Amino acid sequence: MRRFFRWYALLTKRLLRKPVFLILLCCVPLLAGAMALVAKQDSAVVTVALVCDTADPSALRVRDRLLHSDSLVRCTEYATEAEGRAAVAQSRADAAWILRDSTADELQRFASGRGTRGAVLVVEREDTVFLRLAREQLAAALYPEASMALFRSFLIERLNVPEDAPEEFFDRYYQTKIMDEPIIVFSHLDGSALDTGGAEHLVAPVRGLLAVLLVLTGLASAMYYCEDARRETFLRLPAARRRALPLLCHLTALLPMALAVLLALWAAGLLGSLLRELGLMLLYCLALSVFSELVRKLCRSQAALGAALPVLTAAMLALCPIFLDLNLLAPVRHLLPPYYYLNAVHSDTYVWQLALFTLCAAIPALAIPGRGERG
Amino acid sequence: MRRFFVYFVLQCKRAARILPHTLLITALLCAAAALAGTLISTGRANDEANQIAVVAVVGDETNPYVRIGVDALETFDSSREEIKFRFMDEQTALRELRAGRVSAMMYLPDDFVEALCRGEVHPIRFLTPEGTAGLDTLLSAELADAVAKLMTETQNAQYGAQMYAMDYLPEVDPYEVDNELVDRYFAMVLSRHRLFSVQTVGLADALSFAGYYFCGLVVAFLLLTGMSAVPLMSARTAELERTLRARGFGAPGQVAGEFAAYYLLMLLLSLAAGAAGWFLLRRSGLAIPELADSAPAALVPALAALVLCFAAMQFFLYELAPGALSGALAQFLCAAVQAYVCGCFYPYSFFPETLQRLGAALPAGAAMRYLSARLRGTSGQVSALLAWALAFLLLSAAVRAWRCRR
Amino acid sequence: MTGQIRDIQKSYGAHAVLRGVSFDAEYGEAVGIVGANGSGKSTLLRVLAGVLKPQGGQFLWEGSDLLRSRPALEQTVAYVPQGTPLIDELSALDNLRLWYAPQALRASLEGGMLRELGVQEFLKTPAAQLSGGMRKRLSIGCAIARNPRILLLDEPTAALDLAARERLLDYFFSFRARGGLILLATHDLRELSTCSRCFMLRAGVAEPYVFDGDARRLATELEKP
Repeated sequence: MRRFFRWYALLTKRLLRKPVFLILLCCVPLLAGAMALVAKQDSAVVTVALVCDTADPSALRVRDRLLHSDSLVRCTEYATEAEGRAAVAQSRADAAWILRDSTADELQRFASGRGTRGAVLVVEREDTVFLRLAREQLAAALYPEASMALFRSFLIERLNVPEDAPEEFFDRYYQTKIMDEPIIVFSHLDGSALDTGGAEHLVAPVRGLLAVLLVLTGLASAMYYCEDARRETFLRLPAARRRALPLLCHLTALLPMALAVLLALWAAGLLGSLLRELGLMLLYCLALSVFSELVRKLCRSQAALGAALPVLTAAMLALCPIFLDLNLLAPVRHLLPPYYYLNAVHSDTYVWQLALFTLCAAIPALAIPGRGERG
Repeated sequence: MRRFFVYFVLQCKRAARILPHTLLITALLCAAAALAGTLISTGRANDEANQIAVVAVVGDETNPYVRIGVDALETFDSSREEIKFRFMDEQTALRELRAGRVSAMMYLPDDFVEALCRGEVHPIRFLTPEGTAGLDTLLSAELADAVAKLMTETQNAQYGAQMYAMDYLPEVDPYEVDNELVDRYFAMVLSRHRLFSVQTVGLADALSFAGYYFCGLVVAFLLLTGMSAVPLMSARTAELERTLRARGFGAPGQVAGEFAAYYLLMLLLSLAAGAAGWFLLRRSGLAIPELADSAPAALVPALAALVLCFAAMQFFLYELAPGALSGALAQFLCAAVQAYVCGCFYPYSFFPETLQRLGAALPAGAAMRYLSARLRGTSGQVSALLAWALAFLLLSAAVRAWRCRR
Repeated sequence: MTGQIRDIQKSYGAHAVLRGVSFDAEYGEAVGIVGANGSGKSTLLRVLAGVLKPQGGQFLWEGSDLLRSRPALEQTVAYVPQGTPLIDELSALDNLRLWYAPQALRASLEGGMLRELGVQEFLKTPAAQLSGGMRKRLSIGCAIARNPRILLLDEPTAALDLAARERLLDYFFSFRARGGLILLATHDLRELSTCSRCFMLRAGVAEPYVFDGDARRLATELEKP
């Protein structure tokens, strides 16, 4: 055991004597922290050019709601329809919402079930899921006007309220019980609030990218070990110990990088319970050590290992739940360590699966003889 | 000049050693990407593959008010593809949420409707896993928030009508009034898309969503391919560089010869991957409007310019971080940061203005702009790419010269 | 005590390099192995060190076949390849720490074989900054951590200056004087002159060769097919 720790310390010292490696270790938390800082600024998933070239009171109320709404849709006001259309054509806005002069009338017609050309003209280049979502927010901004119109119609038609009753009369009953408490409360499972208007989605992929960085650290360490094997640096080591030596070498690279990753998660505001994060990270490093060794044995040469790096990186970025969880090519996903790690952050089931993955990968990783290794 | 040519040929021979592996594995990558694309486009994958988010709904499915809300949510997307809502019991929903199989969970209290009728709010809880919410969760939450606003207004109207009936029409059954009003509101919610008219003006000079992501994919791929050259670039030795310098073949000549070979390698790789990707793209049926009528050869000059810029950047990084471990990590960090910030994964318009300006200034940002322009049929600003390439090469020569003098 | 190398065979694919190399060696001897380039000198040493697996043959020592007993081989034999496989980023002392337990390292530096090698002169220096002779001494120092009885050396003084070479040769004498056996693959006349016996590898077998100091005669013999 003492020899193991002595070797670990010396091999780590070897890596930490490389200035470039140290600089890269420092860059990781700095970049993550910078990303988190910048993400706090104003951002939006959809940018809308809002045009309200009218004095219609309904249109003005709708405009105010849209401009002050706290959502992933950001509205920027433009003076005229031509300017709004130009913003869309020049890709400065994803859509233009042009409030008509006859907003109130159109809303009334809509509420009465009569034909309507719509209270707002929406101009888009193409239809996407983000723009459909944005139109829901538009509908939500228009709806209070339509709701009031329907309420008014219903009171007049069904409950015999005189048509010439003052607006205040209808307002008084409409506002009898204002639901000022939120109907939907957004939160995480642990009770902490979910910030729907913030830019959490910009920082959310950072953990996934860091998980991929750790995988690459392990694979790069495997390439580094290929060089050591070629130079016979560890030739004197007894054969029985040489099987496990690559795993130790990979760990010497993985553990410092894991520390940098944990710091990065903290800087980005993504770090959860410290004990859980530490334990999970340790397990992940073990898994990556074994995974890297298995890939090294399967690739058989440094050239093949290098060629595999972009492929594995692309596969991890596409198939693991980093940007979106698309549930594609499930058998391939289950071969990639970040899939387990990222799901294990919130689920104990995946912690066990990660441990099982480590065990399953360790067997062939240790059993397959390396290229040129004596039997 | 003769020495440069001899050195260049030698470097090409070195580079050729890793070419077969790289070509083979890149072909595998293209095949896998095309397979994934085919699965998406032909719909052979199950529904979940097309969905951005699945939301679990816990509540009384038979309650008409609950159905209004959920139906409203489901009419959001007429193809019912991107966000799916599924009723399930609470334990199942929690399990699915913790396992990551659903993006979020909406919990409707049993007495939600009755409480609303009394003027109380027992709120719906929209739950997501611990930690930061991804884009899928936030999109679901955004949609739920929009529908919540509809429900709030509906409830205001409902309560107001009840109050009026109780004040002025005691003979009228308030629940009958209520039911009739709810039916009208139900119809209005379901037809809320008539509140506006949509005019799709076409792309004109702009890039389609698919076209944008085609550019993003190409740029991300070119950024990542630098890692495949780690075995080649980490095998260089400082002793040889110093020896060459001592014999009159200094840093500029060395860098020029090595870079020319490296560029050739990366260009061959990119052309091979591009050809394979193009062929498979056509077979997969994925539609990218900008590429519908163009021949692949039209994009080759653009590809050559992109590869020149990125190859120079990667070469410079290898000069700074020559070892296998540091080299691979430096390549990935640079590639990942640029690909993210310059909009290869999320559209760059998602980011705050500071990041958008930063992304535009980076090589990957210049590459995205250039490729987007070429896709739209305009010439694009290749000068930015060339300037970056030149800058990186000059810096590489400077670093090499410093290392030779040490 | 005699060590017996019996019928060592080694092929790389269809190309047979060693076709049955056999010879004996005694404790306290230095046995020189000469041969033309590509004759299999390094291959023979690597087989005897257990680095390469032979197609056949035995390496008998104190009654056991070392090639079939990994622990015995690793305890008895130390192999010093032609290059100097050290970790350049670490100091000489740290390189030694990889192979020695702390007490054993201290003892060897104070009065043991490491002191004889003279490595205490450059303990704090990074391996990358050591001269060729220092690297070779350090490499040997790392190899002998387990107090081996047999040293397999592949051109140990190649590219060393005269002083460094003599220092190493003095160490080899000392090793032999303590009863150790040295098998030495070499082209160097000075190294050959220190050997008690020599064998020439030709056509995959080892033939006894008496080195009388005549370089021209040796060169002629090496050129024969």
